Amino acid sequence: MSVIDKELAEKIAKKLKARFDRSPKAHDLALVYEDAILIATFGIRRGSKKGLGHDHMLEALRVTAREAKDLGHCPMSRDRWLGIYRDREPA
Amino acid sequence: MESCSTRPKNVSSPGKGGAQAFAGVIPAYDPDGEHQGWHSNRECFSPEGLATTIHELAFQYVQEYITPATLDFVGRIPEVEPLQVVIIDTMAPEQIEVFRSFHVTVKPYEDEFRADFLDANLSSFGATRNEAIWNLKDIIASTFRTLLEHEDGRLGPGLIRQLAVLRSFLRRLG
Repeated sequence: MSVIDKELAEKIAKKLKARFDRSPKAHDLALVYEDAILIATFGIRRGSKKGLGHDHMLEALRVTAREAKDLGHCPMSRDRWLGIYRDREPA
Repeated sequence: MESCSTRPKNVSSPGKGGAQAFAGVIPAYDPDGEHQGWHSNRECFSPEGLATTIHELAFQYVQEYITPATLDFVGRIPEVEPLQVVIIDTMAPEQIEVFRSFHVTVKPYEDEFRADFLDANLSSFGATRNEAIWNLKDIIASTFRTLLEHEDGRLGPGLIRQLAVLRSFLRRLG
């Protein structure tokens, strides 16, 4: 079973205050901004199944499985995630 | 106790170190049958004898413990499907040209398939391999378009790098 299902993916997108580009055919593209700068994107799959896998978000958001769950289920704030995201910026 | 002088010449002598720990536990093997097969001489230990012993014990284990139920269980373990590398040389029907083909990987993931374009850090899923690739192309195209729309100083460092990677393979038409 995937770490991030569609329900959790939508919760994370909401937590990160993502805007959506709904033009792609199979996905909604979530756009995460900080101070008007686009810093991360990830796709949320269309489809009614709640179990649809979204583990690609782990790489897109540079988080571990545990951190993704914390992000979606409240313990991790948006600011905390921003700190993690910047710390893990590839050299 | 039987003497080592009865050991066949082609069987090496026991070592003084770790091999002695096995003496009396792992019997030496008489490959020429001069001594009626197995004997338990404490001093007659050899690598050849050890190898043969392990083989015999493994055979015995298989005979005693591998039951039809075990074989039935093994038969129900799904085959591991390998990772496949797919060359992408078109983004049709998107208005995006692939001027340099690139590779993506597709592999089983949970009960679906996962397609990755690792260089650009983009991934997608699908119920079949083809659907996973189709969805990945969809996310590549939409990400490329979005990044191009933001390249007027409104991209973070990670996405600037991602756009540079995508630009080395893709260009927008029209």
